[in-house]
Amino acid sequence: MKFWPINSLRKGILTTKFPGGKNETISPWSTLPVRKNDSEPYCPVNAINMGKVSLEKCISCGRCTDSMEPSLRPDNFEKFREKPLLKRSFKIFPIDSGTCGACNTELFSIGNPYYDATRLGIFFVNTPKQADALAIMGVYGEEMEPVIKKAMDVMAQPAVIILFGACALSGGIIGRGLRDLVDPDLIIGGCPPDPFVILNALEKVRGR
Amino acid sequence: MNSNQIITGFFKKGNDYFCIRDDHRSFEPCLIEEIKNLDYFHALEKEYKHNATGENVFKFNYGPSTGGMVETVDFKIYTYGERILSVDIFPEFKRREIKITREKLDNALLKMERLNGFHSFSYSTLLCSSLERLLGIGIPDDVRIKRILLMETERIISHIFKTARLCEAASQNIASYQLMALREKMMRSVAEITGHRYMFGINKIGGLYRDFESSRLVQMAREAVREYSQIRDGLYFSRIFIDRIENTCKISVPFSRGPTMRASGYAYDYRKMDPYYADLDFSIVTENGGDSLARFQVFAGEIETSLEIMEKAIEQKKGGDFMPELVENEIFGVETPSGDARMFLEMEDNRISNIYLRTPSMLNLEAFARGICGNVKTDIPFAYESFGIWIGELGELL
Ligand code: SF4
Ligand code: SF4
Repeated sequence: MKFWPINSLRKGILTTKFPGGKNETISPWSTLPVRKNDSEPYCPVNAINMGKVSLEKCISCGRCTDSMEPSLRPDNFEKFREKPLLKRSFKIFPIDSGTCGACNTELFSIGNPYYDATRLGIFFVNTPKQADALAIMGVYGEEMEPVIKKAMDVMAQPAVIILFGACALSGGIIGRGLRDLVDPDLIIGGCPPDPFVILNALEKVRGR
Repeated sequence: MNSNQIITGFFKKGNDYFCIRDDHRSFEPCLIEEIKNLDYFHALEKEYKHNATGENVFKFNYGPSTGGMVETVDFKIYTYGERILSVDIFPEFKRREIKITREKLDNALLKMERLNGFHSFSYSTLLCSSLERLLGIGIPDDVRIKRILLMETERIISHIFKTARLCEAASQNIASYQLMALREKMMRSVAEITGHRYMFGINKIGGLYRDFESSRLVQMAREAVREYSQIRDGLYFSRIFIDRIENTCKISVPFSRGPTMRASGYAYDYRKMDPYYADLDFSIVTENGGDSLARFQVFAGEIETSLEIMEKAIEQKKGGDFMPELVENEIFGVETPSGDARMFLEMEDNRISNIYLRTPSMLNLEAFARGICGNVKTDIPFAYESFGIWIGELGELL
């Protein structure tokens, strides 16, 4: 069957050079907004304090557009600890604690040919036992608390705990976040986070 | 085939029960006994238990959190070995409680678009258009057209994603990568045109927060559908793919929703009742197989129909305001990419005081649980992917 290889060749190379080169695109409102004038900004989740936007609270809604504009920067994350031992290969197990589905699909997006996270040694695995990192997303849910704790217990060290998306970080506009349940090494903001931000954050937490 | 105007939802108001039927725009009083007699009653209560007993039957656990699934969901599979006898599904691990009543209307809208982020624009349009009609707010006709363009774009993206997942589960890796790349290309264009990859923050009660150029969106859809058709034709020629998905998870129940229902020959599509689509003629895509292959064929057909609708919609330049009349006891609705969602809303002091939402995944999860019986365990992933179920939709709206 020659169709598939020929069709693939016709499409050429799609994969980004990021983080070696610049990100080709970004979802504007998933990046942190910055001031565009002095007018008093409105934010439905009180994410803006003295003109600065909290990456944990911002739900990427764009309601502040009269005073703010998207920064378009792929740096909507914060790293608390670095795990350089994971430089070579980085296996991620995603846990959905209570999402709308968009964080899940955005995290998996880094596996598509435009990002091809495997070229950076980043893979998804099917159990937490095989994983170097847990990416926990969504709001707190009672039923998921033991599932998250068990996943953290069975992981080998060093392990990276990632809180992913506004819901996990602060509860967003939906519910309660997970900050008081886990002590993250990395937090990634956005509702949902943009794939370029995700790649950038994953590379930085490995000290690359 | 006609869906026989079956009951697809019910709610309580005071001490009385009311039901929602296909083909009816109004809710009707009913007796709780009538509802309880439905053989899919428990699905309307978001319960999916079908335990099997017998000598040598054992339970096999899959979930709640496993890398093979996009969302958290727990399956208990009853089997003698390989063949599935029945299955219990527990979606409650990630059940979210989302407070909508007595919230500021704009905050209710932000929450509604996060009920199912993957189909956010369909749900935000459902809430906006319902509130606009209850509050007597007319919208410029151009806004109606733009909402249709975004809903149809969302449908195309969703159907491409489901086809890609189906291919991945059936080990068609090249096709899956090409489809995921196509979806990514569309998401990037959507972000560029509207400001957000998942269309969050665009809808507004009474209009749109962010305007966009319709022609760019339609041009993007044209190119995407052209590219999709090439991949689809390649899949039709792949004997391995067709053999793998043919006859898996066969189901024909009129309570299933959307493409799942239409793949079993039921020609029901809520867009035919939706005032937004009143002047946009299109044919309902149906197939008769009721299996994963038929669902794939419906996705493929509907991607083309969505583009046709978009082409017709941009040609409609009526101008003026759009405000369809409100019928008595109206039950609102929208055809999301996974099937119709129907909603009852009551208001008090300009806030929502009562809400009931029946989403397509509530019923499609039951259709999946029935269809998978008799299949083998390895059929679960692609059978599930072909139903377009989103567990997030099973959250509680309070
Ligand atoms: S994008 Fe939304 S959540 Fe973020 S700062 Fe602006 S208004 Fe607040
Ligand atoms: S952070 Fe936003 S995108 Fe992610 S689960 Fe929450 S609502 Fe959905």
